[in-house]
Amino acid sequence: MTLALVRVDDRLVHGQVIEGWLPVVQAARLVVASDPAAADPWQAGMIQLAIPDGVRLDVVSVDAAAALLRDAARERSRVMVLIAGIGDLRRLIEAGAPVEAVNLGGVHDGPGRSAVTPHLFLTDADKNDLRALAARGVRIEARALPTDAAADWKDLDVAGPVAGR
Amino acid sequence: MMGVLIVTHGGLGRELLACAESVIGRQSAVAVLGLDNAQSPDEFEKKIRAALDTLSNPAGVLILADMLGGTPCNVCLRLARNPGYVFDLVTGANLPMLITSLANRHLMPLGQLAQKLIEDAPRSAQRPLQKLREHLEGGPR
Repeated sequence: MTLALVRVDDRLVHGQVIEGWLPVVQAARLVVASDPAAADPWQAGMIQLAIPDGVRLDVVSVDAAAALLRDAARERSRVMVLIAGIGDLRRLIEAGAPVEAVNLGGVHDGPGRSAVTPHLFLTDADKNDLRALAARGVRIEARALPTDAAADWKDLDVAGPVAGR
Repeated sequence: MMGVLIVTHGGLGRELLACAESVIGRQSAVAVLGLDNAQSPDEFEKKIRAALDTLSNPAGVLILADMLGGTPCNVCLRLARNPGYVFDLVTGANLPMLITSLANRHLMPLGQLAQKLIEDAPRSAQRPLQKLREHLEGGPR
C-alpha cells in the first residue's frame, strides 16, 4: 500500500477532493476516517454517490481506519485517506496507522479557532496535536489544492513544546 | 409558483441566472447562493434554509446544484433529512438546464420537471462539429 495522500478536511469528500486531488494522486482506494460518517448510513451513502466509479471506498471509524491501514500496509494499492480534524488525525496515527506525511486541506472557522492559513482555522489543542505529530517525524504541509503552493511546517508557525494531555 | 434555488461554487449561479434571464426574461421566485471558499458548510446551510423558507410554496422548490459531490450539493443532501424541508435536487446545473427549469415550472409537477432535466441533460452535451460533418458527408464514418 502506498499512502498517496492523508488529508485533513472538515468537509471530507467535496469538489476539491473529487476533481482536484483524486485524479492527481490516482488513488485506487479512498478511506474516509470519521466516527460520525461511519455511524450514519445517509452520510456514508452521500460519499459513495460522490466518488468516481472504480475507486474503492471505506467509510470507517478512526480506530477502524487505523487498523485497516496497518493491515493494508503490504497491499500494492494507492490509498487516499480523508479525516475531518486534527484531533482525529493524531488519534489515527497514535493508533498505529503508518502515516509519514499529511496534508492540511481545510478546517473552517468556529468558536475557539484562529486562522493559521486562509483555509485553516485551528484551536490550541489542534496546534498541540500538530506539534506532537511533528515531534514523531510526521511531515506536515498545508494547501487546499495540488496546484497551490504548499505551506510547510515552518510556514505554519505553530511550532513549540508539546503540552501534556 | 414553484421556487427555483441555484446553489453553486462562487459566482457561477448568479451569472447563470443573469444569462438565463437575458434569454427568457426576468424571473420571480428564484434565489441564488454561491459558496465562497472561506465559508463553512454550516454557514452555507443556514443560507439555504433561509432561501427555502422564502421560496416555500405548494408547488415545491427545485434546487439546481452545480456538481454532484460538491459542498453546495452535499449541504442540500444533508438538509433533505429534515422533514421540514421538501425539495427536489438536480446536479450538473448549466444554462440549458436552468432555462428548461424556469420555462417549465408552471407546466408540470416538481418530480416530473426534475426527471425531465436529467433526461434532457445529454442533449446539451454534444460534439456539434462532428455531427455537422457526419451530416454533410451523408452518414457516420
